[in-house]
Amino acid sequence: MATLQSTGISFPDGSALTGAEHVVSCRYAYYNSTQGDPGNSGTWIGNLEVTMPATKSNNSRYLIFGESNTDDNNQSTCGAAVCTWVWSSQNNNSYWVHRPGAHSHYYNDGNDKYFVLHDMMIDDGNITGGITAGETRKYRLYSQSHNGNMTFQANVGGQEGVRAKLIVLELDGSLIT
Amino acid sequence: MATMSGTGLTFPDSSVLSGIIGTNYIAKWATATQVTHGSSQDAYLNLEVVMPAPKTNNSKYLVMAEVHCDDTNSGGGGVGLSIWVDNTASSYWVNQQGTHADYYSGGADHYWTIQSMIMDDGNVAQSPAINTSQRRKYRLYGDNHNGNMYFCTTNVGGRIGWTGYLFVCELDGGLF
Repeated sequence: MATLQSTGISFPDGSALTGAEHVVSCRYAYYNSTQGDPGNSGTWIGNLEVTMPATKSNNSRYLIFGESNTDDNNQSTCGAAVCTWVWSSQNNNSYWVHRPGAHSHYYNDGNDKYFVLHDMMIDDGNITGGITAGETRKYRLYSQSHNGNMTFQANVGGQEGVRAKLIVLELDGSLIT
Repeated sequence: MATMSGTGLTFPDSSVLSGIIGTNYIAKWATATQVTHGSSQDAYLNLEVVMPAPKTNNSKYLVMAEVHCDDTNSGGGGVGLSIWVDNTASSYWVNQQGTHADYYSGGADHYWTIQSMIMDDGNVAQSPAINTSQRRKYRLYGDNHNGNMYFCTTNVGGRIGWTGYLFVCELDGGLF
């Protein structure tokens, strides 16, 4: 039979549940308005931001999904990316969680082009000031471009719903090995 | 020490298990291995996930998808993915990227790996409210711009495994 131990619950198959291992929290935001060229170093996509609840533990990790779409506005050479930014209340600093680069997605010719861009990662605090129990972390999605000719959250025929998305899940540290 | 309380089980790390994590929080996915020629809009990509009835009306669904595409005639080509849901009463578009969300107008040979994601909260686009009396069935469709697209294409050298997937996970409303 399953038994309650000092460390949690042990099951007949030998496995044990030693914590409420689960997704701790989730926040998401959408943005639909068109924006002009963001430039090389990154421009905040509208007000696309999520503020996570107080971090559960120093071992928590954040699973992040970002998406937007873009169109070159003069049918020239072009490159683009979306990138993820975080602010930590622990030290009142902001960091790039990941910035793929202004031409991480790129074509070097003059035909008409549209891109769907993603930035997906786990923020483990390594380059973002560490993760501290009780702090507040605020995530934003930014855009980058290479040739000054990109329109973000572009209109596309047959489009319905959301153009730019940011979804963040806090994962219990026990889920990460 | 782990202790039982009126609200659940508290572990030494201070985490609390306050409900059953079981079939109502299931994550499911489907994979595709077939080539589908998208000569028209809203081509069904043989990717479907049927979720059990949601645990509460506050549940939300994390939906993610990826498909490999190849243009059939090496003309201009554009693609987009559409997420569809059926709630037993009717069907709705949860999100449509559009017919040329990813696009190239030149005549060279093109391939795309296209992804889409959405948090279906029963309020985005046409999505109907989430209701415990209605199970939700998700499907993935493909739009294309020039009538020349293979979705879930197998025409990629070195490929092993699926050519497209649809992933759906019900998340407890208390997480939001």
